[in-house]
Amino acid sequence: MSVTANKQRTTVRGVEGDLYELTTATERADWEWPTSVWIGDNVDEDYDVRSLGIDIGSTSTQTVIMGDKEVIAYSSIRTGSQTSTSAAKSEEVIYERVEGLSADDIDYSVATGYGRVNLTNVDKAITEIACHGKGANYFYGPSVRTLLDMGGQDLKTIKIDEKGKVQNFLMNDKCAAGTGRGVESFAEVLGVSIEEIGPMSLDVPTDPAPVSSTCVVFAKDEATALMRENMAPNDVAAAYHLSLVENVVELLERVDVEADFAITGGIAKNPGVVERLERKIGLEALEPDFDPQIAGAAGAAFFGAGLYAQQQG
Amino acid sequence: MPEVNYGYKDGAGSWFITVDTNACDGCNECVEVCPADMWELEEDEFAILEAGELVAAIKEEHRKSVRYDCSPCKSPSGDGSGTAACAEACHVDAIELSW
Amino acid sequence: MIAAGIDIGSDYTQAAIVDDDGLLGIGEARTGFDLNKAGERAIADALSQDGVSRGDIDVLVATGEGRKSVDVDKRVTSYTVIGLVLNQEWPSARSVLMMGAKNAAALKLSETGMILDFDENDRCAAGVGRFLSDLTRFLDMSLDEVIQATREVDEGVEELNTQCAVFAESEVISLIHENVSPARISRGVHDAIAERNSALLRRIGIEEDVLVVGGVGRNVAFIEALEDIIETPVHVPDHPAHVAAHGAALSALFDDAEQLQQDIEVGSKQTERFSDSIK
Repeated sequence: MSVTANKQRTTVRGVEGDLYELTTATERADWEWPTSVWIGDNVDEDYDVRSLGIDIGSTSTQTVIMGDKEVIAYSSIRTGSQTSTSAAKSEEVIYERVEGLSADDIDYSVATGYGRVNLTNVDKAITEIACHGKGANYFYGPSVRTLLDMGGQDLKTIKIDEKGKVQNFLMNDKCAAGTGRGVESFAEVLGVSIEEIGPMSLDVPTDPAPVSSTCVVFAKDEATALMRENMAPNDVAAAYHLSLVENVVELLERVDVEADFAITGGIAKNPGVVERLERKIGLEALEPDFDPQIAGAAGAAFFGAGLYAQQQG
Repeated sequence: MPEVNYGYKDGAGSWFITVDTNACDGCNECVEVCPADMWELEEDEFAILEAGELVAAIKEEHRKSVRYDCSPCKSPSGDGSGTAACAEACHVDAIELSW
Repeated sequence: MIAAGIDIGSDYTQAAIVDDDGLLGIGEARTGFDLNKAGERAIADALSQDGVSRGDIDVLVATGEGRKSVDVDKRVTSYTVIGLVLNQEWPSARSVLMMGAKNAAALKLSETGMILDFDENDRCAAGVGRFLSDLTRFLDMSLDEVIQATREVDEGVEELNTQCAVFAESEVISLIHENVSPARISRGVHDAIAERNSALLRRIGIEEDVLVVGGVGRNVAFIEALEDIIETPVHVPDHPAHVAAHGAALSALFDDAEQLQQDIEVGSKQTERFSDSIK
C-alpha cells in the first residue's frame, strides 16, 4: 500500500513546523479524517524532559511529544482493531520522520483515552477527562471554563478552572446522538460525507423545524419521510443539526455553561454544529489554532512532564 | 476532585447520578445501602500529582443502564417518584439523582 | 358479526378477521407511506384465505402506531387488546413482551387479561426489531438463514453493544471485516437484544407464563436467547405478529368487556382511553 504525503507549513502555539497529511492508495472511508503528522522546527533542540502523551480513542489515536512542556511533534491516526498496534503506529509515524528521535529519548509517557488500560509500556494511565481539561488549558489559555468534546463514539462536557483542573464533567457514551458516528450515520441517508454535511446544513434560506427524534435511527426514518415530501437535502441536514444541538446543549447545561467556551474532538471541524451551538448558548467557541483532536494527548504529555519532575525531585 | 456525573442521555431521556467527590469522605454508606449493589469506592482518578483518596463511584457495568438498575429505589418512568437509598444515606449530601 | 382488526406498525401492517366463532383469517402487508392502502392490502391478504369478501366485514378496528391516520370505525390501544385476546387464547399469560420493529413493551397481565403494569421503549432504537432485519442486510442472508445459523452456535461474539443500535452496527461491520463467522455475529446480536429486553421484563416482574408477541415472536433464535437470559420458559402464541390485530377485531365483538372500560393507570403512567369510537 503506497502512502502519499501532502506537506504544508503550519504553526502550533507559536512554533512553526511541517504538517504532513497522509493518504493511502486505497480509498479511505468517507468519515475518517486523514492521518496527520506534524514535526516542529524545534524538534531537535536540547530539552531537560521529553514527555509523550498518547490518546487512544475509539475512532482515532493521537500522540503528542513535548520538550520541556512545549509541543515538538504530534500525530493523529485512525484507531484500528488492536489498540497496542494503533498506539505503536501513532508513535512510529513520528519517529520515522525525525532522525535521532526514538522511543528511547522519551523520559515519561502517559496514556489516556478508552484504550489506555490495554497499554503496558507507558509510565502512567490518566483519565481522558483530566487530559482534555489540561490540554484545553494548554492550547486555549487560562480563560477557558467550559469544554465540549465530541468524539467518534462519545460526548463529554467538562468544566475546568484557570489551571485546567476539572471541576465538573459528564460523559455520554451510551447513545450515538451527538457523536461523530451518529452524524456519519445520518449523513448516509443523504448520501454525503461527514465533511460535507455540516456546511450543507448552514446553506439554507431559513431554519426548518428540528427533527423530533433524539435517536439517530429514528431521525433517519424522519429524514427519509421528509425527503419523500420533497424537502431539500440541505434543509434535512439543517433539521438534524438543530436537533443535535438541542440535545448537546442540555448536556452542556448540566455542568453550567460559563465563558470562555471551547470545543475539542473531531466534531469541532463541523461548522453546522459549531455555529448553531454558539447561537444557542450565546457564546462563541474559542478559535483553535491547532488540530482540536490532539488536546487529550497534549494534556497527557503535559502531565507526564510534571510527573517526571516529581519523580526526579 | 470534581463533580462527576454517571449515567446517560438517550432517546428516552436523561438519567444522571451526580457525585460531589470534593464532599465525599469515603464513608462507604452508599455502597452498603444500595439494593442493586451499584456503588464502589475507588481512588480519585483526578488526583494526578497528589495522592488520591477513596471516593464513591457507580460501578462501570451500571453506568449505561442506571435508569433500570436503580428501579428498586427510583421509578424508571422518570417522574421522580421513589427515594434513592444512596442519596438518603449520604451524610454530606454528595449524591444527587436527576430523576 | 364479522369484524376486522388492523395493526398499523411502522414497518408492517397486520390484519385479522374474526366472527363469533373465532379467527377466520390473518394477513400482512408492508406499511409503506399510505396507511389506508396498507390496511386494505393486509385485509385483502387475510380475506384470500377464508371465503369472506370485503363487503361482509361489519366493523373495522385499527390499532398500533398508525391507528390515528386511517379511516376506520374504531381505534383501540394495542396493549389492552393484547390483554383481551391473550385472555382468550392463552389465559395463563402473565408477563408479555411485545416486540415490534421500532418499539418494545413489557405488559403484566392479570388473570382476567387486565393490564396491571407496563413499561415501554419507543424512543431508543436499542433492542427493537428493526436491528434484526438490518442484520440480514449486513450479513447478506435471508432471515430464515440467519435464524438457523444462530441456533447452530452455542456462543456468539461477546460484549456486543447492548445500549445503542448505531454503535452495535459499527461493531457488526467491523466483525464482518475481521471475518468473524456470521453465525457467531448473529448469535451475539440476538443475545444483546434479548439482554436489553430482559431489563424491560424484569421491570414489570417475570411471572410465568412468559410470552413474546409481535413480529419478533416469529424468530425462534430470539426466543431461545431470551429464555437463556431470563432462565424461564418463554412461550409464543399462534400467529404472534397478529395478536394485536386479532385483539382489535375481538374488541368489536366484546364491546362491553371490562377491559374496554379500563383507563389504564399504572403508577404515574396513563395510556389513552381504551377505545375512541368515531362517529
